[in-house]
Amino acid sequence: MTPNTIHLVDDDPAVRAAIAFLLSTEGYVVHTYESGRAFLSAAGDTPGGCLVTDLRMPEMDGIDLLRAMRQSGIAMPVIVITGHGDVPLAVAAMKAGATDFIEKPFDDKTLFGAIEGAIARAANREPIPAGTEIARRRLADLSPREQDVLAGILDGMTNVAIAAGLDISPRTVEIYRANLMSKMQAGNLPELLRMTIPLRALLPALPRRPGGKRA
Amino acid sequence: MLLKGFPRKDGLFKSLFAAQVGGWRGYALAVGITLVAALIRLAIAPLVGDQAVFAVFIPAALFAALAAGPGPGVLCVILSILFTMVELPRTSPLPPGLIGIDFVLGLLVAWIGSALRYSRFEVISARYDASIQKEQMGMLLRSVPDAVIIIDAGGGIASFNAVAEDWFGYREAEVVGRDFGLLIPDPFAASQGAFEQCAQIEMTGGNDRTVDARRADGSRFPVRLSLGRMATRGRTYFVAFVRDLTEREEHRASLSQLQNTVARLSRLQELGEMASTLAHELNQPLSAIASFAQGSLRILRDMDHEAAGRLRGPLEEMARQAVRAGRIIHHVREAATHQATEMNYESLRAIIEESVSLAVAGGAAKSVEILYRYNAGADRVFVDRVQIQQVLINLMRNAFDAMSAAGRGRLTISTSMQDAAIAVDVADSGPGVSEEVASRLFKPFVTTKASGMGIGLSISRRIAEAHDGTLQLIQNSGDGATFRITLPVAVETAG
Repeated sequence: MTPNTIHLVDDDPAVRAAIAFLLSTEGYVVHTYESGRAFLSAAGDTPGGCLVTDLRMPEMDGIDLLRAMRQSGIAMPVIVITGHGDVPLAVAAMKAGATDFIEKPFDDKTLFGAIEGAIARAANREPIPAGTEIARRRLADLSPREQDVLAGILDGMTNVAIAAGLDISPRTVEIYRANLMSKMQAGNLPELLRMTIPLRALLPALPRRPGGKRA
Repeated sequence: MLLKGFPRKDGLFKSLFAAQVGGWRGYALAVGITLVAALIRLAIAPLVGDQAVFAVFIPAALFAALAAGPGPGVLCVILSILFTMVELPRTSPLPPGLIGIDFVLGLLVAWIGSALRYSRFEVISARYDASIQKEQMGMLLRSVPDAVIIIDAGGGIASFNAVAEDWFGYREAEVVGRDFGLLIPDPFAASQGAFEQCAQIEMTGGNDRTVDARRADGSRFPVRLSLGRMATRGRTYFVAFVRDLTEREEHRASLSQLQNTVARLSRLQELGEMASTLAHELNQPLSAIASFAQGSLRILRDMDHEAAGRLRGPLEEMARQAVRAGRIIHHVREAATHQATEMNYESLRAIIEESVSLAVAGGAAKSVEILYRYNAGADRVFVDRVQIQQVLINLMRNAFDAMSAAGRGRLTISTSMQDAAIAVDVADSGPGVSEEVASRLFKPFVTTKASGMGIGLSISRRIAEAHDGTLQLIQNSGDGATFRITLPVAVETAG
């Protein structure tokens, strides 16, 4: 199979048809599946390519799918589609092995950018260390509180949980969040996560006062 | 020995006879007493000669049996006979018949002594039981949350417990003997007399009434009064149980305030839940619109046709507007679901108890028995109290609804540790949840009720998740359903 093959998993037929249509206009060969299970059982026949999957699905959600893929040794770049602002889920997906995520509704440039980036990264063609070095420098510019908040985001904590851990109000967390996004020069959350997930170890451990964490 | 150390107030004489000795000491005492008696007998020998051979030993045997029981008593008798036979200097030999008579007499005395000893035991332990009973009664009266006042036949106060002292501001000693009308002037200070008034109230069935009580300082407070007749040894008393209603009124007010808060929050959350569901559901078609438009646009981009050129702009706009609509919905959802949460360290037990009083308010649970099983180790949580109460109330109301068809039921609320989390289980004895509903239970707009939006459980689960916890249906059968909320253990850090 060529790298131009896209596997698309979404439980909503209209969305599935629309994304497949959009992808086809760029010349991709698209295979569609109505569930993660359908993809898993067919994946053996069509190896290679890139997987684009919805995260919130009944029965088997995107995270379960990622885990099942790892277990059965299906290796391909995965782009997950989340609802807008569903951060903890997006972080969980990235940790479960997703290469990237995009928020619904998205425009075509975002989708194609994500797919190209994912395929490039999978082929190791993108010099990751250079990007990481820039991110590392930006990270050093964050105030201690901003670093705390970022650590919380990377640990998949909700704003409320971060606020409780730092003993500040959720509103204040939002302000720190906006500031750190602009300091990191991240246009959106996926960009921020992509940049900072490899750097999590550089950040302080966030005090977890409520004791809760969602991984 | 049972009565060792039992306090005695008796005089010297009584305590001499009340001395209780057991075991080898008893026998030692018997030997000692016999020796003393023998010495006395030797000392008086010049005066009495051969007469009254055994007389001195009779009290000795009696005392030994009384103090140490039948064994030592008999020992005393045997030693005495041996002494009189062997040691006593005699002018003429003792006739064997007399020895036999003395022996039988001695045994009889020992038996009488033992019997006396036994009855002495009985008296003392009965007195001991009575004192325990009295103490328990006192404890009971002290622990009753009501003021308990006993009124004698003359209408006077005969007893006044600690709660009464506290509420009325009198010491018991100050009011005993005074008229009951002093405490509750209306209707007891009437000319008729407090006792007669009590009897009349009891007879006419006007018992358990709300009246005004008066404190020592003259201030008044509302009380609930119940009267009970008590007859003992031909005398009749009335027992007045008085419950302070001031606190209850305040409690009622705070309860209704709490109810308002919960109701308001619940409305807000329902709104947020609707917005959130709308956002999710509308996002699907919107993203399909955007993708279709963008795909069409890509096809048109490569076409060199006038119509294609004219369609390009509108299609671009279509895609842009779809994305914009998604953002707007997202903001609405953010605004609706963004509420100030107030996280605090709380006692789960206190939260549960408050929730129950809110959930049963309105008589929804008249015929439901509520059982609690608390695990003391699973109590400290870091939560928004009102939100967790809302979840619990929601689960309880669902349970009451589930059991309402049967007319009665049992609700069991238990707390436990589940791995590293604290769990609250709410179990009902209703008919359970049908398979079909159970699979979609936590989705919004799923309901089995004629009235109701069907978003209670979905909100509840979101609240649990916002607390880094979970909400699940862990058991479901024809005998009832059990919902479990888990919450993280509160870890307190310094500073």
